[in-house]
Amino acid sequence: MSTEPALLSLTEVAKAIAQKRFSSRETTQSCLDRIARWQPCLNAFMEIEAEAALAAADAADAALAKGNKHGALHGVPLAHKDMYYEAGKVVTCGSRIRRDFVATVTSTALRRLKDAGAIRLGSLQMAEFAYGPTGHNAHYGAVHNPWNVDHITGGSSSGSGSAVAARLTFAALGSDTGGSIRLPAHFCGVTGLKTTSGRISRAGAMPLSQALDTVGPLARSAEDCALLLGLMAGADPEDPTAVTGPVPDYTAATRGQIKGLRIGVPTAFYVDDLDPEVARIFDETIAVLKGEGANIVQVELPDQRQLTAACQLVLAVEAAAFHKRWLIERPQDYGPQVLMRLQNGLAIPGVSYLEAMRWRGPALAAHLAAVAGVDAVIAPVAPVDAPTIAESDVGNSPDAEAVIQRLTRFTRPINYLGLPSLALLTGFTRGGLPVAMQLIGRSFEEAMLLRIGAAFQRATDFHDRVPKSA
Amino acid sequence: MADVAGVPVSAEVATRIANSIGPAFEGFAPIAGTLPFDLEPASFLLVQQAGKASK
Repeated sequence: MSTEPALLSLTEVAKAIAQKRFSSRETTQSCLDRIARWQPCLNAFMEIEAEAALAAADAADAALAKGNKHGALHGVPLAHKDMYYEAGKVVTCGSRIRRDFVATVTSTALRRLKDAGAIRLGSLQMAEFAYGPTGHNAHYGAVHNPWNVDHITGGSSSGSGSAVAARLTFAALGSDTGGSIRLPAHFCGVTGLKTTSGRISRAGAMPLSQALDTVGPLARSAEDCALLLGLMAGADPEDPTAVTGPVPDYTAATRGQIKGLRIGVPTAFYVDDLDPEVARIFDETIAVLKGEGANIVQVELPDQRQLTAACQLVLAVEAAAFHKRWLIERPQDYGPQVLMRLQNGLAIPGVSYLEAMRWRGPALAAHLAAVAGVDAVIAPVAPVDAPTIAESDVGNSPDAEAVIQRLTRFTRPINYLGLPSLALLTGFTRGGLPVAMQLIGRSFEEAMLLRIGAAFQRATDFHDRVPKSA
Repeated sequence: MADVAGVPVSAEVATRIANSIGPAFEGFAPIAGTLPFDLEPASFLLVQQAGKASK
């Protein structure tokens, strides 16, 4: 086990604090030391709350000394995407418009982590209003990739991906509406879980699209994601879309073997036009899973291009509707690309939007029929590794929509279908950039994905590799 | 100035919007206009919950 607490996994550090092998103060200071070293080159944090974090750590240590353990995350410092409301805190949503917005409520996801004993390190950078897949931000600057600071992090949970990869926080909440957890997990080389629509309450989380928004964690391992999902999932009177019923034991699921499981490889779309390095790592990932005893079979999925298009129609309209008042009153306060994309949604007829919404049921039914014979599907998160910040800084140019569509091609169909997807670091390019694959499950079958992901991580060490300090 | 859904935009922006969303309409064209009369958006939740209930 590392002598630097910040290098432990979430699961390891929670245990180490509970067993008093590290204090919460030592752990928090370790994270703050790394943040001080990395923040100038990564720009991953929106706000660093060092003094408050150390005070909270001292309180956690004092409580533990008296035998009062608050929960599974007692004294563990965490930071989250700056779109989760916490009463009394500024929540910028990565925007100029909300630069001074002080939340009056605390989001359910944050409150559940806090109730489990987590303490707050600060808030993390993000794409403006979570509407961008690259990690650029016109107001607060681009977030940088810890594996190579000239490259993008992916977005919209850009700070979450960067900070978890650089070991500045043990885990971070992200949100995924079109790929915003999985893309940073892919480009930054961490584990990211896009949950089933309805699995985690969205109360107190900034909205982008009510049909497509999901809450989920980015962390160092499938085991860590399982721990966080178990704490956050479940019914919530504040969010009627959060499903009722018992929450599975996700941590227990990560201990399962995968021998005999059937994992599907798509015959088209997700295997088309891949960068050769991504294709190589995809093949190597499949070989590892096969080596662990999984049966790899081909699956023929329905036309994913139609799903991508439907997702774009729904997202564009719902985002424009949320923002319409500010589009009229404060258009000058948006970054050029976000303004452009929000304006796009204004021109989509209501009938087209509703057709896309009405088709979701049949499209999901067709997908579930196609995957009836497999336990999960595996596919790349994106067809390429991380582009440079310079080459992907397309703003509102005529090429912008094409660049966005290319990066999100493999993630959007999953949002439209509301399915869970676990993005796992599964290799590195010869240039040293991480590449992730996504395991796609049936609705509410996160446990199966976490089981396969954990088995892969027991067989490999990619998720344990740490970027060298810039 | 043009007016798009009640929001004033320049003619240049109106043209750009048309170009940007064109591919989404093209991609969805095989589905548009083909859905059965009785299909509700809530059918998505029924399909999703049916899968959950069968576990």
